[in-house]
Amino acid sequence: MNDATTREQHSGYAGENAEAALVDLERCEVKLTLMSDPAVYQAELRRIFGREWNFVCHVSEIPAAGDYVTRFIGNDPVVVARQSDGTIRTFANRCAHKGAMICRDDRGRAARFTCPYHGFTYSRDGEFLAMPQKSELYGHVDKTEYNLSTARTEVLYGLVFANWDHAARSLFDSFGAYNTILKLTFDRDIKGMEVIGPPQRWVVKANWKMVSEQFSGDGYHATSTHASMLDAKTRDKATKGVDVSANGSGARCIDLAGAWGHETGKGDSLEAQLHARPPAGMTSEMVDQFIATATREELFVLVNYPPSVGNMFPNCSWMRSALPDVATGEVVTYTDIKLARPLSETETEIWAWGLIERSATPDHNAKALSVRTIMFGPAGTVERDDVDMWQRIQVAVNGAFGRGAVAKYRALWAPEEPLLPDLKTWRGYSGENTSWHFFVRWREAMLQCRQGGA
Amino acid sequence: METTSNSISFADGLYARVTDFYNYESGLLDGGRHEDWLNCLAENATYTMPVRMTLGRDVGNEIANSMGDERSGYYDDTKQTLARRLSILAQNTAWGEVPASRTRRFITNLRLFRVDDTHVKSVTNLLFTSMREAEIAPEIIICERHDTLICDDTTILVTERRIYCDNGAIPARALSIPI
Repeated sequence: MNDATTREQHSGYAGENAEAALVDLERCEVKLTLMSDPAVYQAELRRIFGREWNFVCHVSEIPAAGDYVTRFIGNDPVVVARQSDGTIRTFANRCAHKGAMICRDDRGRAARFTCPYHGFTYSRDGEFLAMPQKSELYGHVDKTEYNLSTARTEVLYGLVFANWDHAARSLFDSFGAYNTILKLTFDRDIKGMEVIGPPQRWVVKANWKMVSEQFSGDGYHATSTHASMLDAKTRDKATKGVDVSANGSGARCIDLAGAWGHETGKGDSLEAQLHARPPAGMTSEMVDQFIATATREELFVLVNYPPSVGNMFPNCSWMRSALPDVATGEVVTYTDIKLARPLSETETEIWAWGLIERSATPDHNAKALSVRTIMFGPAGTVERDDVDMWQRIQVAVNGAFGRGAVAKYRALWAPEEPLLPDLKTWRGYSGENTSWHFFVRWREAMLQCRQGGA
Repeated sequence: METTSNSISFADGLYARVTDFYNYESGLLDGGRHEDWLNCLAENATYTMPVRMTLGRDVGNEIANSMGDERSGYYDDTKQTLARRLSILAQNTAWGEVPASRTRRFITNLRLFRVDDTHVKSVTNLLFTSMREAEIAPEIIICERHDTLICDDTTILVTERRIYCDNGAIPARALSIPI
């Protein structure tokens, strides 16, 4: 299936535009003005954050009816609220009267929301309920005119996404072959995953795309950027693996098969292998439960090439690492979601959630949390080096000549035998393939002008 | 719990000693003397910094009620994990601190409370600034620090430090080094 054709048919393609032209498909180059141009940022707010599936929260953040969190899609504030029937709604955090932000708490529980300006009240799904002195001032009013704008909300693998474009393809369809990668990362445990507290938030002076592009598949940087963290053996492992991409979402998978010297085939030995060498944090009960519902393809990928880091297009990256606990050396799995919220063309607020599996042992989860806190987040020994690199880029591309500079993607080669159907796959040292595909997808999204050039 | 009955006043010799200790300790960190700073912590010391949340007034306005989950935060450390962080930082390839940040810790508003014969609790305000290269403005963290100190005749050590920041979002570089 040709993704570009599908999208063109879907939304009325208008032709090449200035922003899309910044990605040169023939030369595989990207003009770095797209990291600093305010016009590009404004166009992204409409064409990407206004029309793609945006991560807004994890289901465990709003477990009970009435629970809500306040988040952002692009630079628009939204409320994400659990309904009485268990579904989740996302609506604009903006009063339908004169546009005031209604709720300023990070989270809470409410049956209704009242704008403090004139007292307009809305239900927990954004439906307009009442305004004060309605009959004296407004007489009969068409209530539907005052309902808060709703973004379509879909949930997969515990992840909640929202899309302002009600005509967009489904979340599942937009991930395509990438779905299996996400399922193996976030949906291994029958009891589900749980966030460890509220998200960390920190502001970096760099364009959001640097974060998302890197997590899409830059394994190459680990040796140099994280030299302070990695010994030579680990560095070699960190930069080799199996890189995959579908619809602009990229991931790097660990080549366990390579490490063991053989691939475990799709026959019955997959179950035995999973029991013999379970992923970090997976108890034998969890292995049994996983085997009971997993497809052979899912088992095959988890046993041989478990996903370890990636980015869901546009700006939601994730990690599922197997790392040694500092104190004991025991290998634990740490799962993290990171959202690169675009504050401006030159600033990004990163939100990071740590996740644990409910069925894993408390001891394992405590160690996983410890690993997370030491290595990641704004105090993280790993993360602070990445932040430094992104900020270095921003300084250099802000200049008059820097804006004309070009990022050349040359460590590219044709996709190899796919790990899964329709999942582009590259093996060995981590090249620039999946990062390049992030920009291919970005260009596609920026091409989709609507009437009026939105 | 801190009350006026267990508070230690400015006029008390111990207050002066704790003030000296904080001036010395922060000077070590500002001066990059990380090994010496670790010696200011007891062996079983904990160092935590929860995430700052914005919550409704009916939930409670006290500091503790508007912090994140007990299990999570920016720091959730022991003396050993702090030592590990600092040893990584010491390398020339710790790019987050290349070039090094110029930090300054302003510790004020010391309130001191007796816990038992050997322990006191302190509450201080910390203004932490970090500048690098020729930046115009520093990165700033503003916080209230709650410490438990163990004091004998000659030595003061930190056994517990909990940092409640006012910042809902942290500036990029500010937490590279323990504040």
